[in-house]
Amino acid sequence: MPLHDISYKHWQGTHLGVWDRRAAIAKNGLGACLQNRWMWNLVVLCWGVGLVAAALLFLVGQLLVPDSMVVGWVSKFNPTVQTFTALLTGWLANHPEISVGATQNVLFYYLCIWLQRVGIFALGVAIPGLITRDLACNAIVIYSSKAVSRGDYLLGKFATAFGFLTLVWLGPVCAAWFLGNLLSPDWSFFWHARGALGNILIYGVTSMAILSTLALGVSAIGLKEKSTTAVWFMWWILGGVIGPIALHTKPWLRHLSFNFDLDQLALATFRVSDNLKTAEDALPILTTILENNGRSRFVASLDTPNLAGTWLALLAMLGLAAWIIRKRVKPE
Amino acid sequence: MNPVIQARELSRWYGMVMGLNNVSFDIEPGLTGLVGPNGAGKSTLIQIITGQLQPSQGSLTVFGEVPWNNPRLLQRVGFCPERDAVPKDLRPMEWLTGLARLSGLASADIPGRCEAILDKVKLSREHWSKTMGQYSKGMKQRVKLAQGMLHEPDLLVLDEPMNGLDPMGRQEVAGMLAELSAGGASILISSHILGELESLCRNILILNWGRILASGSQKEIRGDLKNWSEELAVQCDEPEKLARHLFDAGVLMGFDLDPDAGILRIRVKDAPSFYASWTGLLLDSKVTVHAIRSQSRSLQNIFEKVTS
Amino acid sequence: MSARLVIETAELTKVFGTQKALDGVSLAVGPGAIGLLGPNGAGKTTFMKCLLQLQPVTSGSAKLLGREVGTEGREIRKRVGYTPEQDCHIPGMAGCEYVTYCAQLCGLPFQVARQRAHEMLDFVGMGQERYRKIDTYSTGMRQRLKLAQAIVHDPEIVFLDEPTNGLDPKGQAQILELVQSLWRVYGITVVLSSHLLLDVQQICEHIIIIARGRVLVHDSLANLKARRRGSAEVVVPGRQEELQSACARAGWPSEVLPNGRVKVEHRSDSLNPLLTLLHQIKLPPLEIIPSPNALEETFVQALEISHAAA
Repeated sequence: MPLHDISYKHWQGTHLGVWDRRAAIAKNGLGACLQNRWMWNLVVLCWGVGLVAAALLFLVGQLLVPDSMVVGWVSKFNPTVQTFTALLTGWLANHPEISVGATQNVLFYYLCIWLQRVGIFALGVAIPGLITRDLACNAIVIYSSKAVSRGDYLLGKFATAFGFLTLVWLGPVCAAWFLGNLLSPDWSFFWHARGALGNILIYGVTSMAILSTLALGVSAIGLKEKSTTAVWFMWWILGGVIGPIALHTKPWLRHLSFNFDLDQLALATFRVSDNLKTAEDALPILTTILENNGRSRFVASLDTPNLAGTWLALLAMLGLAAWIIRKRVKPE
Repeated sequence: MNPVIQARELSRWYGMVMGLNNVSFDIEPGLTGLVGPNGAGKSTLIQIITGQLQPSQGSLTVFGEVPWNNPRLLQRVGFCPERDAVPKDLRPMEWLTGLARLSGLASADIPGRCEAILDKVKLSREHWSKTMGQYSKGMKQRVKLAQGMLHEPDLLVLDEPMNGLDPMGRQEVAGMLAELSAGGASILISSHILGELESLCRNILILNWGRILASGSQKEIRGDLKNWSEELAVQCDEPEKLARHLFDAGVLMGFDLDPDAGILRIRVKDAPSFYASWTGLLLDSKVTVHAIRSQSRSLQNIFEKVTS
Repeated sequence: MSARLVIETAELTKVFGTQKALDGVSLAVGPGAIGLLGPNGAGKTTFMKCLLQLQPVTSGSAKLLGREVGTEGREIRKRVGYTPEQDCHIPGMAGCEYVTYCAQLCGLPFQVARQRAHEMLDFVGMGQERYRKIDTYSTGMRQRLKLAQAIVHDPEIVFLDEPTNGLDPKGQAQILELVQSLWRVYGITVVLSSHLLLDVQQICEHIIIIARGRVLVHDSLANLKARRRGSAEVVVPGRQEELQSACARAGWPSEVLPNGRVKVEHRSDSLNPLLTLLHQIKLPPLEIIPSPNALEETFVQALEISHAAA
């Protein structure tokens, strides 16, 4: 036929399942979060930090290699450092199953909680793209008229936040673990460091789930992008400010900060104080070194967390977030 | 009769962007419709008439005076805007009372006047106690109309007054406007619903791209169009038979058959002589006729021909 | 096309606080072009929203395309389209991305979705604007976009809520033509909710009028017009009084309307007797429109009856 029919055509294909639709929502949301050029810079920064951590692991591993560059470099330092390094090397060589695990545990504990702060910052910037803009443009009505329910929409948005945090936080941390152990002197490092990976994943997944839900809740508070972003950052900053003040007056107030509660969870998961105890048992001289460098403060910061209070506070926050989402995300 | 609104070489620019370009027209007393596509300059024109904007060049006078900075003149002008301009937290009586005071109406008269106007626009009393933020689109429209008519203006300018109203509401507003016009007020209505303007307004002003394309009564504009041809659609039982008969009579310039719908569309030469024999032709064809519709008389058609 | 029912409701009730927005609505509607009319706040919008699960139902049941809305709503909406009255869209995307995404949300695979999105944008007459962000669109383009996203997934039924709102006359005509073709050419059932009776008359074959939460009228447009048969509006160039006297002599009631037309109740099945009368008085008609306001009159009458009953 010379003239082709370009009018409306029917479609008889097979529809995709509901999980594909949820994935479409998540992908779309993630794309929206990353539209900002600065976001990409942040992502690169986080992966850079991960690389640095991997490099650090590599260096520590090199201590065990007799004629490595690291060993030679350390020998140039003062006797205290040399002694410490010698002890560390000895300890690492004698009890790899404990020492590798312990050192990586401590290293990844700090990497987790510091990189998490970057993640919280990035999530704050991404918040309008989660639910706020949809509310402002009345998009919920459109979503509701499609083959997705409110639950699918929220699941998709949750996956967006979760995926975003994986990209800026858990991803770099896990990559650091893999790369660091890949560059270690021995394959057995993977096995010895499995505890650290376990802690990373347990804490990471829990914390990301909590942060994602809280972010969705804050995102659903209002229609203005600036307002919801401000709420997130105000909450975060105030929480940080209250901490040291409340410590001496009403310690339970500190639980109002989600960052504090998550740090408490991290402590409980990684159990760095146990690592410290193990290290001090193996190397009594470590205690002496640390005493000269603020050991009491260090130990206090690793204090057994008030888990009951932490979970209570987190559940209350999650409940509030869920309530806000239920009230605001309606097809009206 | 003196024109209510006169524009002479009126232009309004927003930097390089053109709002109105060298526009001249007279609007006579009575009901006038203002039509044009979106972006044609209708809002700009309305803003100049109601004193919200100054022309860049040329002049526009309402009742012989310039509306800009002229509170005395603007007391004779009422305006019902398109956008949702009612305050969310006030009740209608509160708002109208406030506006009435601003217009300088005598204090004693105000409550009575406001109530009368709200009754006139048929806003039922059960809604008066609610704040206007809770109102539906139709109710807000009625309040806007009320505030425009409150001080009994001599010129009422309405921007999309029927928007959001159901058919009953439209009928009521049309009736109200006809009543106002009969009472001596002049009314300028800007609307996209040509069907309503067609029956309500005798005179039309057509704008496009910031320029006036036509002004005058629908009949005059029609008469002036060069690409005008009388087009009719006849709904009947045997359109082919009628077509043949009319063709044999030599009156057709062109025709279109739609046998399924039973419609014959014809274009005729020389309208006056055609109409003289029209009924005779129809009856002689012995075809049962169900409807005769003009394709060309409607405002829709005039608008399309003018803006093409 | 199967003769199955597209909409079925049984005692559908929706209560807002003390107000009954829908009061036991029971309907059975087959495929076609259906006009949904009613005064503001009378239940017509609520009815549509309940069918689309945009509002939860208080009691009663509703079936769309033969399946229960309450239990299978999400899956039914793979084959249902909706253009809301208010301005809505999903932010942050260009027009074509948005329509593609909407198709994906209805279960279309990405490749198919993208292809159909562009086809639909062609269908609604959108050109290069499809590559711009939606926030920059004019009203006309937004309305077209709404229509495109409603039909991109090839629905069996489309709900259109005031689709010509805010459009200029040309835009209105274009959208109406598209909507008309949806049922007449492509067999997609159209439920048009509008206050513009002229539009509804042009497009719809069946009419449902909902007021005070109840169905007042559910009939075909042809039947409604037939009820009003025997009346016509005549457009004549002057001499209206002459026409009126001639009608009076023939025993036909007539009145001159505000727009200058003469309404005559000739009470016959065709216009020929009226034509004969006009021929006799040598007054050629410019137009004779039979029962032109059948829909409007039905609407007003139905409302009056319901007001009286209340």
